[in-house]
Amino acid sequence: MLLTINEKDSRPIYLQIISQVKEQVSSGVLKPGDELPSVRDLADSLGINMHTVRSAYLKLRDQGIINLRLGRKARIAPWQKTANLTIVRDSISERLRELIIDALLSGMSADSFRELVNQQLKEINEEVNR
Amino acid sequence: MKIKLVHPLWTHLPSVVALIILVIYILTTGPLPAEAPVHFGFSGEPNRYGSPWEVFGITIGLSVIFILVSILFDELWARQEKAKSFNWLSLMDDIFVPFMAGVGLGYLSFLKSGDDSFSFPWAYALPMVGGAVALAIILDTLRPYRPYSAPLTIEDSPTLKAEIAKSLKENASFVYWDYQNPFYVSLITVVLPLVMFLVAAITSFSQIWVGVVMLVVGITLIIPYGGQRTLVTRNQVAIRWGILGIRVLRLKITDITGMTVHEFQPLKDFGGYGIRINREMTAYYLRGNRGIKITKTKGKAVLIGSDHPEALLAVLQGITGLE
Repeated sequence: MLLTINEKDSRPIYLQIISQVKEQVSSGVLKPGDELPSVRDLADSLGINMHTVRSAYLKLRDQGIINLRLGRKARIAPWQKTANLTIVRDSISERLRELIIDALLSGMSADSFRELVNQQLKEINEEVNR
Repeated sequence: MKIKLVHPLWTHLPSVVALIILVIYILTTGPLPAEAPVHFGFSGEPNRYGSPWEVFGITIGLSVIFILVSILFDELWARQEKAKSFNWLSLMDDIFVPFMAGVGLGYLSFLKSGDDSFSFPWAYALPMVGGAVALAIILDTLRPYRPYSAPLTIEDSPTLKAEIAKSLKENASFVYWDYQNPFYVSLITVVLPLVMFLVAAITSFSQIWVGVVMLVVGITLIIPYGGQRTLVTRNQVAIRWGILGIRVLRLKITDITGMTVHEFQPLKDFGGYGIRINREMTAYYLRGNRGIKITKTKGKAVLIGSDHPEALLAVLQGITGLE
């Protein structure tokens, strides 16, 4: 598993960790039951604060991506099939709204945003199917 | 986690049956005397007294340890089998456990008889061992041969290399993380210490030093819990071990002169698993037969075991710029 922390990335460090773990789960590099590095190992090697790593792991746990229990290794959780769809839908739509506003504010047209979404969907699908 | 044993568990039936026979006999014999001779001199005269449970505790505890260890050994053996052949290792517990059970039965009948001196119960031990070994030989010949190949995953190595190159260029910090934490490590580091603490608790009433030894060995066995972790960063390769995360290897990237995916035979090349040294290299691995062999500017080569050696190779090549 490769984790990169890039200062040029405008997102905060914990979000960078979260999105990379999620990406690797969706592309199948990380499989259910796989271990994640300990908070301390990760913080030491990346030269970041342990609290940053911990908050990333806690967020991942809250979203049901990993299992985190006291004294145990963080592991990728089994796939959730029966998540509460309305809640998932609401939270996704909220985040999408934020993204759309960002895109429109930076001068992107609605059509090119739609195109971007379709392209990303296609790419992720290909990664999952590979 | 799901693991599939290649060596079937039913090959351990003879020793388990012997142990069950002993337990049934102990339970059906009725109340055991509170104090009985537990240690004997050469001619069979008792020279120490205690609770008979001390004898049975040691017998049963050791037998359970033996069965667990031999399940582990047989599994390791079966995974390296290239064609069906007779597994002599599988007789290990089928000799030891029935022997202990036989001695236990003999001791039980000695307790019942009320004799003064104890003669070694060959009459119990030998038939038990004979029967169990005969059954074990039959069972191991019946054992099916299942070819085992470690699960291989094909990683997207070019992507990894590109990501490393990008991180290096943008001066981003990164870590590549690889681990080996096979099930048998958890077995050794959790179940064995528990059994040892149990034996320590049982024996500590009469023989303090046995309890202390068991306690110390049990605690030492916990240390490898968690397996091996390999962490590769911009400057170094580090291997950490066990529950304490002890760093057993630290290799500066600048000291690396070359690396290849290396296939090896754990038992033949290194005589086992763990941190192993042979004439050519120092190896760090807990399972499988593949890893990355790294040559350095000075000293012996290093072999890092990995379940995804291609990915590890791609990362190292990306960082060092070596091919």
